[in-house]
Amino acid sequence: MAIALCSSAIAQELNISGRVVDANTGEPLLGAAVRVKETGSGAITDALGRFQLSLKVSSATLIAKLVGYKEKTVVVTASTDNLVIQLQEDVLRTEEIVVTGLATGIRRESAPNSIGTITAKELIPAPAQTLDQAFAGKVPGLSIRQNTGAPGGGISVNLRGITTLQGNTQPLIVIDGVIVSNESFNSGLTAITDATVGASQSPQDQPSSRLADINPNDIEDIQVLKGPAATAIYGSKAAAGVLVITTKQGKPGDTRIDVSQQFGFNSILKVQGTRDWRKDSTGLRTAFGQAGVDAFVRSGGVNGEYIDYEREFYGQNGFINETSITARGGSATTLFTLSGQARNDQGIIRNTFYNRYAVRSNLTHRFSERLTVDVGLNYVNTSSQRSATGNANVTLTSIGYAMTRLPSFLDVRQRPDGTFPVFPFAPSNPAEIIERVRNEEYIDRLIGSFRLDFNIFRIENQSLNFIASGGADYISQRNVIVSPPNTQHEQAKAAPGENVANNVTNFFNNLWLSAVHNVNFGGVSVTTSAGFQIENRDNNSILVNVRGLTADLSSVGLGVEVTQQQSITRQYDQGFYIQSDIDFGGVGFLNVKLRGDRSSVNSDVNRFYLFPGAGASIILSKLDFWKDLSRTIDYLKLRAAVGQAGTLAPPESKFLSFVPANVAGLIGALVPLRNGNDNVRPERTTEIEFGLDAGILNGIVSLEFTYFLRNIDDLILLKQLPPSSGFTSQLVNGGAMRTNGIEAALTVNAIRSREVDLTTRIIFSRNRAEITRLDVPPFQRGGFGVNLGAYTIREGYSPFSIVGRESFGPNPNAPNPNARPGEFNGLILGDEQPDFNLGFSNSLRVFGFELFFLLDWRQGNKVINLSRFLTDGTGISPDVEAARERVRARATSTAPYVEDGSFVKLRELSLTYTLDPELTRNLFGNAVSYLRIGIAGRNLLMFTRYSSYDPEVSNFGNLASAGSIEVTPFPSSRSFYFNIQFGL
Amino acid sequence: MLNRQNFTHFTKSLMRVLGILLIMLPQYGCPNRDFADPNAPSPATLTLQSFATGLEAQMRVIGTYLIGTGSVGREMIHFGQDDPRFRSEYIAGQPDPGGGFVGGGVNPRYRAIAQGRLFLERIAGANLPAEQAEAARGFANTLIAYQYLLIHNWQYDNGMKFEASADPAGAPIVPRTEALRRIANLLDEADQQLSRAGNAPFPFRLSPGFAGFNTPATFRQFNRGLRARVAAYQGDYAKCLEALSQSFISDTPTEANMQRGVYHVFSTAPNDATNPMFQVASAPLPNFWVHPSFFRDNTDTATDRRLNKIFRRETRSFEGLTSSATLNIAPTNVSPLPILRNEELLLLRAEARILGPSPDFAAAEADLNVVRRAAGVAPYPTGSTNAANALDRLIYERRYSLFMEGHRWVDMRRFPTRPGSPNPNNLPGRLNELPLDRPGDRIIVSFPIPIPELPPR
Repeated sequence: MAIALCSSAIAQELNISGRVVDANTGEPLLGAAVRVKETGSGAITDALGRFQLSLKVSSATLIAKLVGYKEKTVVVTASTDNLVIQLQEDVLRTEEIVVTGLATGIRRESAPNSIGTITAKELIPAPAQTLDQAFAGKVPGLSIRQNTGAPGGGISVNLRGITTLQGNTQPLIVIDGVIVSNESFNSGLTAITDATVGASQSPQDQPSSRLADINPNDIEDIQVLKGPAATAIYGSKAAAGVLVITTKQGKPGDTRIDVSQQFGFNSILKVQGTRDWRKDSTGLRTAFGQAGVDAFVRSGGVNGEYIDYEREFYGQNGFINETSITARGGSATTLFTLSGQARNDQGIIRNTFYNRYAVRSNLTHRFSERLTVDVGLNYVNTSSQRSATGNANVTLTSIGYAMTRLPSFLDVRQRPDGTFPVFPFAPSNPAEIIERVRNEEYIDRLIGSFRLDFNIFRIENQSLNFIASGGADYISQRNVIVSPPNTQHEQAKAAPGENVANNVTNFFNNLWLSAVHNVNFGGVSVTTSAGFQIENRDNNSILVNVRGLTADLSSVGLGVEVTQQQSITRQYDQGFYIQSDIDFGGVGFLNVKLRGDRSSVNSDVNRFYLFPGAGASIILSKLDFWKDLSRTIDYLKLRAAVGQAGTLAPPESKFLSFVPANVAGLIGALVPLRNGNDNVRPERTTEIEFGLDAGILNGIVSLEFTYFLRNIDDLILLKQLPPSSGFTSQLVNGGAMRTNGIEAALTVNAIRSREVDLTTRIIFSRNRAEITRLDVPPFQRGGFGVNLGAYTIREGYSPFSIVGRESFGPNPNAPNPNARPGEFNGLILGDEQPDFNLGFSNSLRVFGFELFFLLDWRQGNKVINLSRFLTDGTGISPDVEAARERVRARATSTAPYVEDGSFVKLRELSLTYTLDPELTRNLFGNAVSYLRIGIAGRNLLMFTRYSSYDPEVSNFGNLASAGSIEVTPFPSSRSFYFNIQFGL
Repeated sequence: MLNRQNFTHFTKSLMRVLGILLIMLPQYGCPNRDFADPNAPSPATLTLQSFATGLEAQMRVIGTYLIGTGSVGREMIHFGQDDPRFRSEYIAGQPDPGGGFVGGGVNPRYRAIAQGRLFLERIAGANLPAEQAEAARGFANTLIAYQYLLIHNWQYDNGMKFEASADPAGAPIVPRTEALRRIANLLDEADQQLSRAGNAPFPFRLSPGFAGFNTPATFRQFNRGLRARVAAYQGDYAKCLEALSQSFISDTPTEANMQRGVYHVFSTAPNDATNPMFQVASAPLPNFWVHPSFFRDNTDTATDRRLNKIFRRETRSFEGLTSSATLNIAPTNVSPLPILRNEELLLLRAEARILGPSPDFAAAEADLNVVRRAAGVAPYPTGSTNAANALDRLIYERRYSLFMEGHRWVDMRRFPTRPGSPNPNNLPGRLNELPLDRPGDRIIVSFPIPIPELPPR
């Protein structure tokens, strides 16, 4: 065979040059790859679509490829300098490569799973403060919940609903082969707000999420692997799905620089309103006592001022400034991307802000035909000031919480001399919190990635590659929280003045070593890959809290009382995998895979837990019998996949951790509340999904439909133990849950011409979940106890079921009206999970104008609104009569505070005008390649019956369920932008 | 393909690959996966001292218990605006068995008991001299019994659990009388253990809260004092007097002598705790206010030093409740909280002399007068105490002497109902005499057993 190759190699020479163009518009295509099948060599087209090849073969099969276009094959038998290869736009994106394994991919056309892709263009038509914000409404099954409106984010990302009650709820995030952290590290704010004292649980810091650090402009595409049927190969951490993020890589040719400048502002999305006591002052004495009556009279009574505190405190139009620059270029052997971003956001509360500075370099070098190395480096620096909001206790040092005690007639605003009036009805003055309390967060983050692709051999129909890829993610988070000593809320403390210094360092690294073998025979291509993975996670957080300060300084070196905490988390995992993908001539596809994982968090650290998977697809439209139908339905694929993946238990599950408890200098250790478990295993999620993808009328209509069913076994539960046992809880594998759902996407590209293009896309998803087995007694979780609304976990019920006071004991309206006192009577007050999510987007291009909007509709989700509970208690709710009714009702029921959280949000709106290329050339010569101006908005409109700021809320941060509880949060904002973009 | 050029090419690339991997790989390694808890000591490494001090530390987690008993007994009102349940559960009388306002009264007690249980296991395995082991057991059992007693006070007629079981149905709920009997037995067992300790010292140090009671012999006096309290609750006044005679009861009518006893102590040192009842009584809006009846019903407001436990100030109303004084039982955040004081022992003796099988009103009056003199109040005229007024006088002194120490509600529940006093709700004891401030408010007789303690239904 070698001889045959050698002999043909000296036979003849072919010199080919030509152009690659768009088949519809005739425009030259830049960056298209033209590969010679026989030799493996190739060329990349320049800005005019030109390429050139010199080959020592007599006949060459050229394969031209470009992202977004269908691959085209041309056979050339004679030298030519005028070859024109026309590429058809790939409207259905069937040619796009989607990941099937750790080192392998397949054309979307053949993929056995529903894999969502968000491309750079789709990601941020309107700028997003943080990356995760831009996910809403784009992929069926991918939903987000913004936990807090504070600048810098705090967003929970969810794929296909619930996979776990206690484990990690966030998908695994892989950026250029590096597993990165999306954990939320607590800031230590509760030291000031006392949110977690007494009956409340942790965490209530309103933490930001670390996906926020990634510059959205750096992203080429995001592939969304929704569940175990697709993610089995990622093993024991992949039950919640995987987001495979690829950043922009260099492109050969002249260096292109893209510049984008955004100016904008943030403003409050929705106000609640507050009671106008001038119109109706009944109940004033009950609510605020004689002091309240006196204050009302002093304010001028019915003729006094109505102070709109939402406007005073949340009314800032925060300025936004974002500059992004990306430079991409390279030669045949070396490609590079350099990018930078500076973004400054002011919040809607005075003094709050979020700044991000990010730089990235991606470098690809081809050492030889055999060896390619990619290296990426990303440094991010963010700083934010998030103020004190959310739940609070004792001194009520939270803007929103203190406001629930603040009637509109009482003036607590800062005086002209800089001092603050004493707020007589609460221990804290919200105006003073805004001006004087600091809650700062600083992030430094470095993500480094590398990938090495070494071709060990390639012969006619076989190749073997060795791939090493991985990297590291280092995060340093620093929180500085300052509550100055001479503020009102500090006066009630023994040692006024409180500072917190919180330092978190988080280090992840991972390495994949894979061998990929590919063989072709008779049109069948078999790709087999196998390899190992090492992954290490180290987290160390140190929090120092000092009280008793002499001055408004942030040092923790001061103070008379000191509390220190340290928490170390280590997780060391190793895995292996093997996978085989079989492509039957592009018509059918089959894959099987197996992953084995062991982890330090399991009780048995040496045991490999195995996670198998398989998938198959067939493209009916490529079969002979379809010929007659192909004019109407030109593409139809049926697909099915099954797989298992896991969720690891929290690393502390297995330990019985005594807590320090000293008395007067004697060193004590106290039995912990949570018992250790010496038999803890990963949760195991088995998922099966079926679906079809269709393209109708030559790609004008495309449709995707998927049904999935998941069984989650060995569910890790925080088992409540009777406190008389000495422990209150233990993490155990003790239950099973079933979820299922449907996902659909419909894209209609009704008009497609050079001048006008109209694309409409609707995505829909609906998930249901049920606890099918519970080996522990039913229990309530989340919130602040049953009377204020909690979530019940019991067999036969959804894990999102909200229960309240009236759900226990005899109740004529309950399914079991004769329940004994304290017994669950079956009454569910609502379900946190929406009936459905629907995203509707429309993109219209007319000549140089592009209009895009995205509506996000969430229907039927319920939210426990405790902000309203608090304002009702003090009588300052705007709906005075209804509030009285709720207060009467709440002695026996919780239902008045379980609200419908359905909403329709205008997530994104953008209008862009691209200057005519000729005009651009006339104006700027060759200096500017394109110029675009536009306006854009994010979350511009919200339609909801929910009474508070935003039904997307979670007082408890990222929780798979039991999160939809509102306690006086940082209100959500809308942002509006003016932008200008140009290429150099 | 296997020509020389190709091969050179291959080896060159391979060398590069190996070179790159040699730099990259060592940073990963394969760390030991089988490591101990990086954040906390494992139980096997803990000392007796750690267990003893940990037990003391957990006993101090008593804020919810004092606020709960104090609010229900109408000694205080929690005006904290952060949570309306301080009023709805304790004052309006709608306790939520699923929430922290009910569980918070007893769960910390069970945690202390669990600590005590592990402590006893550790003592058994510690290879101590027999006397020291007995001393340690006597210490642990006395404190465990005290924790059980507080649970009894909270749950009263609803009964309580003694055994630890991870299964809610695993441990029986013991009715009240039987519970008191078990507590008494455990105290007696501890007493025996302490007596067997002889002159051996405790094999660990006690905090300054036990100053004067930190040897097995003196600690026994504390044990007997607790036993006297339990005997009084049982109505066994003979046993009460017997136990008192072995306690640290003392007749000197000085304030310092009244305060003599055993305390929870606090500090601001790391991993220590501060007093949960501390507040700046004069701050603009403290949480703990005094029930108005406390000051109103006092007959010697000019001189009664026991009123120093409150801070008189402007009138404040909240949710239809009114007060003009704030709690001042912990003027600093490191003020101690009493567990058992001589003042209570004197009042227990007076009680035994009034309610015992052979009442001795003169002797009882003498005890009451020791307490009154120490408080700066004129003693009752000699011989003025009789069957008609003795109990009222005792309850009055107990109310002011033991203010906010967890007694008032328990006392009003256990002392016999005043003949002829209207009791529309059929409340036990004298609970019908506790004031109701708002229409709809009710007096809780006992807290329900928390939901997590009950088998799922």
